[in-house]
Amino acid sequence: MNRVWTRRRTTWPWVLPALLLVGPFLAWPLGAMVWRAVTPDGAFALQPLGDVLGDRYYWERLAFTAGQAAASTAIALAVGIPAAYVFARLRFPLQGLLLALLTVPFVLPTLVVAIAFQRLAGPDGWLNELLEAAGLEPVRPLGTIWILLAAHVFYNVAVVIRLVSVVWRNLDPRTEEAARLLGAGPWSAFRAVTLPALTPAILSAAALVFTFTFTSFGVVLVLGAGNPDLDTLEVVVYRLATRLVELPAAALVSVIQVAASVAALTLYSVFQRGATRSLGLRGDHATRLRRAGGGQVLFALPVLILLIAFIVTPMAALVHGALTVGATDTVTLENFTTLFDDTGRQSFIPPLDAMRWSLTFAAGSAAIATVVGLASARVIAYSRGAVGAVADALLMLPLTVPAVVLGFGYLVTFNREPYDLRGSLWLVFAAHALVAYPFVLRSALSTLRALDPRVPEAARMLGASAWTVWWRVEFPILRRPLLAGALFAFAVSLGEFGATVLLQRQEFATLPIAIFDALGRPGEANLGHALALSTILMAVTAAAFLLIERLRYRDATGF
Amino acid sequence: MRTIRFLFILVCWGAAGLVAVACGDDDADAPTLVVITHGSFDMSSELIEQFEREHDVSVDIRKGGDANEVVNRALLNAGNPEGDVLYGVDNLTLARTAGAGLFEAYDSARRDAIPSEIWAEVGDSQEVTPIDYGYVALNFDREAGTPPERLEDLVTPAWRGTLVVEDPATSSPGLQFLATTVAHFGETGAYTWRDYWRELRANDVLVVDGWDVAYNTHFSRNGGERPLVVSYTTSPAAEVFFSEGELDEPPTANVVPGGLKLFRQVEAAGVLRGAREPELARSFIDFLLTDEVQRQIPETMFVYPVIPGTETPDWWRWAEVDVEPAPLYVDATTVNRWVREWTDIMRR
Repeated sequence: MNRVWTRRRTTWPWVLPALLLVGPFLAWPLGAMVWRAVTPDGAFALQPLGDVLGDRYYWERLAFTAGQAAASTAIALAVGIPAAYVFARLRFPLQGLLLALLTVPFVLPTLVVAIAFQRLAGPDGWLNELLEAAGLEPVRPLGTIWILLAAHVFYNVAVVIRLVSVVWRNLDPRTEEAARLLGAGPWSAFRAVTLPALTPAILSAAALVFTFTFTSFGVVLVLGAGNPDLDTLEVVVYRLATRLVELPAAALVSVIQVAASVAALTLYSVFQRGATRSLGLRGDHATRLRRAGGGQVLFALPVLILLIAFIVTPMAALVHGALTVGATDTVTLENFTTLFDDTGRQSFIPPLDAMRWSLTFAAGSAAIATVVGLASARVIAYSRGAVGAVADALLMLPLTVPAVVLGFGYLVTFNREPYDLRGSLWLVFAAHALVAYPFVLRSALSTLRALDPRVPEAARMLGASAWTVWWRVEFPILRRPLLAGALFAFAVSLGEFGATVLLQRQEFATLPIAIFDALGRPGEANLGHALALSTILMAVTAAAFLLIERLRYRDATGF
Repeated sequence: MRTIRFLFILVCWGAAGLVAVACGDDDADAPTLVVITHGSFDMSSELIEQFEREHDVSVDIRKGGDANEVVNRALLNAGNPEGDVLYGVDNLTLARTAGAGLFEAYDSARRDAIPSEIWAEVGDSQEVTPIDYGYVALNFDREAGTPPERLEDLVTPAWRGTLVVEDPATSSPGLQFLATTVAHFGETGAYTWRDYWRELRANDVLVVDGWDVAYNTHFSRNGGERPLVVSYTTSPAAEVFFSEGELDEPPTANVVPGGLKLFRQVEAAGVLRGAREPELARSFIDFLLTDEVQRQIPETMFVYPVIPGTETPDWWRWAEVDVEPAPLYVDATTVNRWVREWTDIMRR
C-alpha cells in the first residue's frame, strides 16, 4: 500500500516536461489542424472526413505504404537474424567496431542515404559499371520498388541485429546444448529452444522497423524519382500540404498514418516488455562469448562480408562522388574547397554557418530531449499495467507524426499575435526535440526496467528522500544510457529535414537544407557541393554515433 | 568523465549559439533588402551594386524553387515574411494570393508606363506591379527531326516518351501550359483537357517539379532524353545567345500550331506585408521598371520587358513569334480546381 502511494507521489511531477513539450508543440498544432479540417464552415461536419475515407486513392496508398513496410521488415529480418547470431554467439576481432559500423546507416540523414543510393544505382553508378564489366544488361532501379526496399534494409538492418543479438547473447546456451545432447539436430534445437526465447525480441524489432519504413519520406521522395506508384502516405501528405495547400485533407490523411503507426508501436511496446523480461534468464557464466569454431566461421564469414559490402558500398559511393568532379575518376578536393566560395552565387548558404546552426540546433534539442526523455521514461517505468502501456504508446507518438505535418502545423498555428513564432528558432528547437526525445526515452527506459526495483526501495526504507534515491541510486546507473540517448537525439536533430525545410529561414539554414538547396540547382558544381556537404554531415553523424557506442551498456536492450 | 565533459561542451556550444543569436545583428550599419524570387531570376551584379550604392543598402537575392513553390511558401509566412520584396508571382498564381494579405498596396510612380492590357491581366492589381512577360510554349529539339504539328499528335505512339512538362502545382510555366490545354480542349464535351492529360500520361510524359530541371536536365538539347519540353517562346533565341556566336540560328523551335491559344504570362513584384524595409522594397520595384533593368531583362531572364519601346538586343529577333495573346485572368477557385484535378489525373 505504502509502496504504491510513494510511487504516485513521486511520479507525477515527471510528467511535466513531456506535457510542456508535447502539449503546445504537438497536441495543439495537430489538434487545431484536425479541428479545422472537420469544421470547414465553423460548424462540425463529417463530410471532409467522409471525403477522405471514401476516396479509394488514400486506401490504395495506405495499402502500398503498409505493403512496402512489411516487405522491408521481412527482408531486414532475413538479413539481420543470421547476423545477430554471428554477433551474439561468436567472438572475433574488431567486433564492437563492426557492429558500430553496421549501425551508422541508422543515424544517417535520410537525404544523405537517398543521395548515396542515387549515386550507387544511377545510370553511371557503380552498380551498372559492375554489371557492364560482367557483361550483363544495365539496370535502372531508380523509381522502382527495389531501390526503396534496398534503402530501407540498409537503414534498418542494424535495428534487427542489435535488438536480437542482445537477447540472444544473454540466453543460456546450455539449454540449446542440452537439446543437442538429447538428440536434436542444430536446426530443430534452434527452432524448439532458441527461437521461442528470441521471439519477443524479433517481433519487437519487426514492429520498430515496420514503423520506421511505414513513415518513410526522404528516401521515397528522392529515390522514387517522381513515380506516383511509389508514394507513401507521408509523401501524399507532403504533396497535399505543400503543393496543393489542401490542409484539411493533409491533416486527415496524417491522422490515418498516425493511427496505423500507433498500432505498430503499441505492438512494439508490448513486445519490448517481453524482451526485457527475458534478460532475467541470463547468468554471467553464460554470457561469455566463444571463439568461433570451423563450422561457425564458414557461416559467419560470408554473412559478415556480404553485410559489410552492402552497408559500406553506398557510403563509399557518396564519398567517391564528393571526391571527384564530373565523370572523371581523379580524386580532388575541389568540391570541398569551392564550397566556401560565394562569388556569383546568389542565395548562397555559407557551409560554415550551416554547420554551426546544425550543431546549435542539435545540441539544444538534444538537451531538451534528454530532460523530456528521461522524465517520460520514469513515468512509464513506474506506472504499472495499462497506464504504463498507454503512456508508452502516447509518448512515442512523435515518432509516428509526419515531420512535414509537424512543420506545417506550426506554420498555420503559430501565425498570429501574440504567438506569431514563424521565423523563430524556437520552432526548430521544439520540432527537433519532439522527434528526438523518443530515442532518449527508449534508451533510458530499457535500463530503468532492468533495474531491480528492490534497490531504490531499500534506499527508501533506509530513510533516503525521493530526491536522494534519484541522485544516488538511479542517476549513476542511468548516466551512460542517458548520454547515449542524448547523442542519438543529437544525430536525429542533425539529420532532421521534413519539418526544418518548412520552418527554416535562410539566416539559420542547417546542413540538410544546404544539401537540398544545392541538389535542387542544375550543374555539376552544385551536385558536387551537395555530395561534399552530405559527406561532411555523414562524418559528423557517424562520429557522434561512434561515441554512443562507447557509452552504451552492453546488456541494455533498446536501439 | 570525458564523456560528461564532451556533453558539457556541446551544451555550451548550443548556449553560445543562442546568445549569439539573441545579441546578433552586429553588422546592422547598412540595412539589408531581401528579395524573394524563383530559381530563374537573374540580374547582373553591376545593376545590383548600382542599386546598393544609390540606396546605401545591401541586397540579398534569395531564390527558392519554381515560382509556385515560392508563392506557396510566402503564403504560409504571410504577415511575417522571409524577405521584403517578392518577385515572380504571375497572373495565374496571383489569383491564389487574393485575400491572403500577402502584399502591401503599392502604386509605383511608373505605373502609367505599363500598358493597360498588361494591367488587365493582373486584374488591375493595387498590390503587385508587372515587370515582364513571356509566352509559355513547347520547344522542340530540331536534331530530333520534324516537330509535331498539333498538340493532339503528342498522344500518338510516334511521340511516346518524348515530352517533359513541369508540375503545375510547383511551376508557373507548368501551370500556364495546363491553362493552354484547358483552353484548347475545353472543360466540357466528349473530349476534355482531362482526357488529353490521361492520354499523355499513358504515352509516358515525364513530370518534373520545375522548369530548370525540365529544360537543363531532361531536354535532349541539354543532354537529356526528351526532344519536347514546356518552356518559353523566347528559349530558342536564348540558345543562340548562349552559343556565343557559334550558332546563327536557333537549334530548337517553338511548337505553336495554328489555332492554339497562347497566354501571356505576366510576372510581377510586390512589397511583402510585414517587410522590415518597406521603403527600400518600394524603391526596388521602381528600380525594376527603370530603363537599365528593363533593357537587361531579355538577356538575363529571356522574357519581354513590360515597358513598351524598351531597346532589345539583336538576337532577340529570334524570339519574335507571331502570336495573338489570349487574355488570361482566372479566379483562384478555378486555378486551384485545375491543379487539383490535374494532380488527381497525373500523380495518382
